Amino acid sequence: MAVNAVLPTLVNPAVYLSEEDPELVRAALPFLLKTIESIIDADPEHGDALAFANTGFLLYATAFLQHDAAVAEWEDYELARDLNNRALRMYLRARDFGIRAVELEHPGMSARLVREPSTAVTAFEVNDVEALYYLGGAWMLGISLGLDQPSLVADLPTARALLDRAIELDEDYNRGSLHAAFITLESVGEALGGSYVKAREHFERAVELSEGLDAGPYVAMALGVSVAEENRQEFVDLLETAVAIDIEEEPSNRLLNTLAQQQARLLLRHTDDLFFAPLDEIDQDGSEIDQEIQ
Amino acid sequence: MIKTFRLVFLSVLLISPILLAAQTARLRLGSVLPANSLWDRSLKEMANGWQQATDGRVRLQVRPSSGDEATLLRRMRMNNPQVAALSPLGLQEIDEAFSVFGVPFFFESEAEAVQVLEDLTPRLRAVLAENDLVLLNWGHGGWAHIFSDTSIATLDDLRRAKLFTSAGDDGAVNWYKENGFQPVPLALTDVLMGLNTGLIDAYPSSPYSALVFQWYRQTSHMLDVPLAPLFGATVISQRAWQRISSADQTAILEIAANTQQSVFVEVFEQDAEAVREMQTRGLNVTAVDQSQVSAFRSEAENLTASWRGSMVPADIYDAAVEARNRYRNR
Repeated sequence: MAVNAVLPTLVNPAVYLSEEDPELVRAALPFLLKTIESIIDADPEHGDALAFANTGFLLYATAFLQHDAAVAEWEDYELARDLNNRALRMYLRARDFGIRAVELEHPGMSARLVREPSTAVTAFEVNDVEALYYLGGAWMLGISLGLDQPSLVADLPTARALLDRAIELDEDYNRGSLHAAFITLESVGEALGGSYVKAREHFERAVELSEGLDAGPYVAMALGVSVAEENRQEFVDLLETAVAIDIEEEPSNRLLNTLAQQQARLLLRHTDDLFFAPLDEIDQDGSEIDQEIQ
Repeated sequence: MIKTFRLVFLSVLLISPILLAAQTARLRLGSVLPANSLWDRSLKEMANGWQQATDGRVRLQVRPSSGDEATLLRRMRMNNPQVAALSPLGLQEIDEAFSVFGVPFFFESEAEAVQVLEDLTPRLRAVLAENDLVLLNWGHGGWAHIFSDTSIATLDDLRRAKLFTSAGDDGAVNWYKENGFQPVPLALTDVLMGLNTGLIDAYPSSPYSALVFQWYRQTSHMLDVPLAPLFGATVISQRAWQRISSADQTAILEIAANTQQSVFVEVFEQDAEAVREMQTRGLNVTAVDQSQVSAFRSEAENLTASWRGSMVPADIYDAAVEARNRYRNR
């Protein structure tokens, strides 16, 4: 009973997400997550604790582990690899808590989701959208880091069905968060069922719903579409727009905007590394290679 | 109720560049392989090994999902990038000699195919050299199998199927037609659409690809007779290679060989796991007994003999047959 009373105060995400100092959240979140796990250990069917464990581990893996790996990749392969491995394990932990939370409301759902994902998700209604978003997000991000593991890859339709159902039920959820996620989902290439055209549509809608105050869609679009399409100018424009967003105009999203802007600045510094020289501009005499190989 | 927060997908699914930042020698590797796949991971491990073994003199940025291979090869000819990890299709774009590994049902086992690959390596290395490329190592994408919506156990069954073939490979399309098959040339990106609309109902694919592309969900049968090995290669332009010291070249090749060795083992484990996962989701593996396999291969051998001199240079085809027979008679 005491736990139930204190939990909403203890796990108020707004306190974390409005934080201007990411390092403070990085230091504070692990303690909170272990506390939540202790609560779940004592009460395995505590719905709010399970839901927060889903979102909290997902946040930590995305905002700190995978974000740090993206930074490290430019200089230190082994550090990046280890951070991505940790992120993968944490995404799966987040997914498993999310599944347990969903099972409380929809018994037997986890098995149905694997067997017949597109049919199973029709049981979810609009009040499930938040759970779908975080469960689908954790699952999808785990798969994206574990493409060398067929047992994970096999669940791709399940993760996709969860997010498809979420956006079908509540298209403007959380000021465009689902559309922002779909920019990435549609950027996987056509062979995998993605579409750069659709990614652009989701980007436009995400920007519209967030009134241009969320840096995330700009970064996702630049990395997912502009790089794939070798559109260097668009890449630069998108990231410069992300960097120019005034974080104080959306205080509730300070943390993730700060991190997205950090990533945008990093990517801008590495623009030359992310794009091949245009075919019609490459020096046929090989002066470029002569400069690089000394 | 726990309040929501906004999730940012900070890293995208297929874009995860490694830059081992350059001070001196900097190379870039392009590939169509997806980030965080077995092959991408192996290439990044190899890049890290190169950097360590050469004390940072040779650094390699691995860039996955670098567009289509035809464009990649055009870029390579201009040294941007200088290194590429090519699929069988990419190698066939360079020279028809590499089509020898795509002859249907030509090899009976992995050991046999690998032995032929080793025996043919000097010839294939020369073919690459004629195209200003240096072979660093062989890649392996597993073995293609026939997936279909109804069970296929004989070549006649296969003739009744609407079979996906790669768009642009007119020689293969004509060969299939001349031998009573129903090839449907499509771009790789259109396979899922083709399966969904009934345009095709069978395709050759490695188990992993059938899983990751989700094609198997429209085709619940897999023939348990491997069609062909999917050998790729990592190559570097002559121009870049010549600018690397002999000692560093030796170190690079040794690490590349180690990478090849581990990929050739891991890809089998990956495909086996992919089959198990698909079986739990409804895939039926069509097993055929040894006498059926022998009949299958015998008929296929008669049909594919016409590849000699048409789709595969005669000397390469003959060398492959000789190496294969030598292995079988060892």
